[in-house]
Amino acid sequence: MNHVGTTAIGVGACLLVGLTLLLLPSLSARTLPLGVSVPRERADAPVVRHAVRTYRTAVAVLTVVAALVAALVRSPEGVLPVTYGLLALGCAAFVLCRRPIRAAKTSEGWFREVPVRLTAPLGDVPRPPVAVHWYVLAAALVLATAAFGWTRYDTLPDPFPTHWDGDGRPDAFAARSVWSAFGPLLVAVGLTVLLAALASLVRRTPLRPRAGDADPLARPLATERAAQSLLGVVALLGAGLVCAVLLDGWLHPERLRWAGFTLVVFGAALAVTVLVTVLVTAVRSRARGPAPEAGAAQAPDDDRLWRGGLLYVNREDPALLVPKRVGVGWTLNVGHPSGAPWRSGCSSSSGPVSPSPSWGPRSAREPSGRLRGPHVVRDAGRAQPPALLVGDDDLVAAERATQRDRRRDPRHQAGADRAVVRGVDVRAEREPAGPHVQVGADRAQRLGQGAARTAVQEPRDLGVALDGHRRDEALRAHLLEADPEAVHEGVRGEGGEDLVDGRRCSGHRGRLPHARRRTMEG
Amino acid sequence: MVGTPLIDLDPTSEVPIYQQIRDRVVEAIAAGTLPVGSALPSVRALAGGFGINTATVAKAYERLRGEGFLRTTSKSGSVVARGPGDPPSPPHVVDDWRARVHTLLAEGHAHGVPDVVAVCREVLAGLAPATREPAEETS
Repeated sequence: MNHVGTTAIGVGACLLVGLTLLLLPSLSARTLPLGVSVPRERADAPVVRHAVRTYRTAVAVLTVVAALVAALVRSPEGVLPVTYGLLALGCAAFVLCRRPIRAAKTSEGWFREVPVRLTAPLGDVPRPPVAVHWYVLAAALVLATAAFGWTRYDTLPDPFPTHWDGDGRPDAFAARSVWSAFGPLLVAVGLTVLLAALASLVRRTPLRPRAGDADPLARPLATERAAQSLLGVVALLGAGLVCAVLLDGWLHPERLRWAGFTLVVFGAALAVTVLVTVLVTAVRSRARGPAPEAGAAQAPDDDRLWRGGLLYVNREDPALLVPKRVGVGWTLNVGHPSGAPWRSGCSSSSGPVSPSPSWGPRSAREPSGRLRGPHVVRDAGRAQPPALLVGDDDLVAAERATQRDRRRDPRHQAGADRAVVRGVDVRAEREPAGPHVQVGADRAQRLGQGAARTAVQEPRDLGVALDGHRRDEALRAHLLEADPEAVHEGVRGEGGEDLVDGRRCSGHRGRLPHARRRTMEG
Repeated sequence: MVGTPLIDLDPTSEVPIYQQIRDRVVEAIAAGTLPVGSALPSVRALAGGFGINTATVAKAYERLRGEGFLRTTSKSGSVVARGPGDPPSPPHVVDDWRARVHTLLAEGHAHGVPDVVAVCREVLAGLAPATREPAEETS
């Protein structure tokens, strides 16, 4: 392969990645600018537009720089790092640019008055079929190549070249055998089978329509149709690439003649396919029909479940593959129960949690090593939680450990401005507390009017975040760096005073001076 | 059946999610979008559709089964067992429903809703065409 070919491939790859990154905002729902869920009314807010513009500018600059670097590197080995570098920097730009939107949403309480709904079909929705013809074509191509090779098998050199250098000259040989001559075809077969399997898997993933779209199923179905044809085309292109290189090797064993040409054709075809698919999807998924009226319900704020807007972590969700919120495709649910052993292995290595002396003894008595002790629950609609999920062991009946907030309706944020308490037996010393905090209910309960005298302790400066890592811990610092919005801690009293000992109690909106927490000795 | 009904849940509501699922299914049965014999998605599929815990959906289905709206078949899982065209449910089920109607109507009355009966008529009018259809089909 010559330098011109290498340069073309490098620059082409960078442009392809750059274009995809540039198109990302156009491919996502209007209410998900840069992967932040916003209410429909705020989709065109100045802060949103500015953030998207900043992201696009950053990506454009990065793409040009990367393409220039790729043009200068001139070695096949340099292409990959440059492309991946561009991808990584593009993602970093994405994560950085979305922050102002999140900040504005949180501080201005964009979702406070918005009615939200989760939507799902109560039955089977006809799904776009697997694009079988592409896989059949790929298989036919492989078979034809194999048949052609079979007729020419006796003319192939022995030893047979199995690897070629950048100039297309063979630099590795193997004894001529069916295996060395036809082996590469297995790669094509494997690729085709893998993509076909993926295509049939895609049909079984949940659709996740978004409430508030004129036709909630339009976008997920358009995306899926695009994915089906894209997977099929990639299977054919991949098989075609392998077959072309193999034929080249069979016909010109002393020096490959078509390699550069093949790669350029393959890259260009891939680029064109991806772009066409992306554009067609963008057009198709535009919701047709009347726009929803102003007060209509819309998709809930589920940012909580998307780390950095890109990584889906939801332990309640039984789906392993879910549609991406940003762009086209599917992503793994990193919080899926099947990943639990791996996660517990990670968390146990971070050591037991002993947040502060007042909770230490109880925490230490927990033999299971599971996370016990105080947890702060973020109320995503606001900068600071109005109150919190209580985790003080002192407040909890001796026979039962504190439960974390295990909301069963995980795709939404906590209620606008209400406390959410669960699994806590509150035993104020004075009059019996009002609320019946039901144990084992299937979802978090809010404190209502009846909760007037509940001793709900506000966790102030607990030094332990939702993820259970101490503030000064290395891993914690790392997590904070990764996504500072995912953890909220260091809440202080209204007057700014430190409330570490939790003497003051507060319930639903406001302090309850008479409530005392129950102190349990030993 | 006119396409697949989409159901909505309000994650911020005071009403538990399983109760909302149960309510939406009952409404779909009443409206005729889920005729007798139609299969509901599996617990896992519906939970995956919403991205909620499977236990929540299982609880809703369990309720519906207990109330006689669903039955389990070995072939298609949970299936709608009865609809508006069928003979009334057993007396204790109807009594239970009456008690809840009583509470609801009393609530409206206490809230000073001017014409409670008109509201009832309006709700029933929305269900009427659907209630007739299955009856015609069976006759």
